[in-house]
Amino acid sequence: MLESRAISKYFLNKRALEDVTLRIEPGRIYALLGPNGSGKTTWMKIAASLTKPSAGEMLFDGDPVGICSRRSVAYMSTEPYFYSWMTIRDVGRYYEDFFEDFSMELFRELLGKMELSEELKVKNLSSGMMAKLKIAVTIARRARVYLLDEPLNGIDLIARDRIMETIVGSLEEGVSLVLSSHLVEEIETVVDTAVFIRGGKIVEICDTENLRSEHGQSLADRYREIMQ
Amino acid sequence: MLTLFKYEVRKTLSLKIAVIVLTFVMEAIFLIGFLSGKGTNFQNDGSYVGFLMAGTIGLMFCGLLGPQLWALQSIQLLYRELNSKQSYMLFMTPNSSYSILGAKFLESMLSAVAGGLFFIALAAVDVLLLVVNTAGIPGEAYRMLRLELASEGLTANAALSAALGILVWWISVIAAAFFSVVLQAAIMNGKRFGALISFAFFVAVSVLWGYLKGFVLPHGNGLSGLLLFIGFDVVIVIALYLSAGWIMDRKLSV
Amino acid sequence: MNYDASIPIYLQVVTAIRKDIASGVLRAGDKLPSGRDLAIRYRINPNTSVRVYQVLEQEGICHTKRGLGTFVNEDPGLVDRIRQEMADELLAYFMQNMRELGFTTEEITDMIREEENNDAGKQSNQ
Repeated sequence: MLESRAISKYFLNKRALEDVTLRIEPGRIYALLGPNGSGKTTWMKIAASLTKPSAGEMLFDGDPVGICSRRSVAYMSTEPYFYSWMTIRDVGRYYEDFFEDFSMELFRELLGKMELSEELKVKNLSSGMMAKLKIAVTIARRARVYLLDEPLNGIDLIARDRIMETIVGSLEEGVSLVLSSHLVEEIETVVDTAVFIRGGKIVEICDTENLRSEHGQSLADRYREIMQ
Repeated sequence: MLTLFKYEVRKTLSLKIAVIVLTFVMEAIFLIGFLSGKGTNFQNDGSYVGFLMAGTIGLMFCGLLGPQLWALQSIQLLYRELNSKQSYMLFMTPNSSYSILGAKFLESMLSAVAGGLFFIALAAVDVLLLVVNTAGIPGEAYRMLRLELASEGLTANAALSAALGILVWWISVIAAAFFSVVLQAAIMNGKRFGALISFAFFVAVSVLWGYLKGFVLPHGNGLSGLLLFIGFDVVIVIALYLSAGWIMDRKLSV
Repeated sequence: MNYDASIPIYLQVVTAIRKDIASGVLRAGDKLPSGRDLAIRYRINPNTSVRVYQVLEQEGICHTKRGLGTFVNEDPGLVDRIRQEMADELLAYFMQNMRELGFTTEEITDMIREEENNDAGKQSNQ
């Protein structure tokens, strides 16, 4: 469904991505694993059509990503990006205005689970609340592909379980989820396929259960091995 | 694009309202002076003069600076949005760059037009009030005023053309500024001195524009000349919009 | 549910469900959670749920009725069978490890009896 063909991205002083080829299949959960600056965010932004690749193609349903794919691809960045004059309710309404697949009902339900009031102003949110809001508003979209960049960042330990539960529980059939995370152990049990990326290049792609049954390794073990 | 436009208006609303409110305050001061001076038949003394003058100056201030501040705000908003993570709000939506930019153009232009009309109408009303009350007979005073102005070359036609000219010039400045900001963001997104660079582009674009316009100048005088002038500007505005849209679409990474 | 992430997750979930059946938490005919609910409850991938149920079905523990859900088999000998299977596994694991430490079957049996007496002693003291 979402296919990255030999994607490269160069900035003035660095090569963020080099020849990255990857297919995101429907109904699977992917983890994008790698150290800071390895290119995870850049790849996701290209997939979300926020950034243009220097070379290669990013295709969604066979067509280059763009206006059309934005309708079905939901991206959640690591940094906060909402307008500071908005309240949480405004954020919901904004998404509702622009995304056909946004469910206000689900959004309110998620806000309830995360204990966020609609009246709160974006500029007054703590980093933990902001992190939860970003997830709520992204998951409330019934998208076909979710690209979540470090969704557990800034969220306290207890809430993390609930968040993972919420994310996995909200997935419909045939939907793809790509997570990037430093917290390998926290997402291990949920991930189908792990994509290890370093220095802008894909180092390895593996099926997590195969890794366990054939090599007796956890994702965390494999990560340490590769990234050493 | 209508939804985008709705949000552009919301983003710029508070400054617009502030200026309008200030204008009404100045108008109130002016009216207080006017009404209290009315009884005395406007002899050149009395406290009402202070109010009239303060009100008039305040109104001129608002009328001249207000729309400029609105334009500056629109430009600064575009700059901030393109050079920060807030760009995600715009670019993750399923809208083309042309729509996104178009909504901003629309917002600035409509503000310029609406603002212009508002202040001109207010000025006309205030001037009329003064004129009517100093000369005594309304119709007579109005006719006198028109003659007076016409003798200085200020016919209705001329005024209209001038207003149109100013409007188009205003829109050109905004178009050039938008283009410059988009160019800067495409080349050096979020880097330091971005504002300076975009200003430099703006100066370059303006100079080039003036230079090209120079070729249009010798052709035609009077009304047709003016129309040619305005037509040229309109074409350039459209060209700037399309170019900025293209750059945003193909070359901008946020 | 705590996982050992170096062992296949689906196997661990299968074991957990078998244990529930063996200990009576789940009974014959009970409805098992849907694939998605299983994924939520056990913090696993929905695809893993599918695999879990496939394995359980192969082992004759459950069956799926399309549109209705997955149910524990109405097999009177099921609970005993599972209990025995799990006991065998635990025993094999235990014995192997104890033998690796060098204990004979005699010593092992004695240790078990002593452990039992200690337990009984603790019980009567309470």
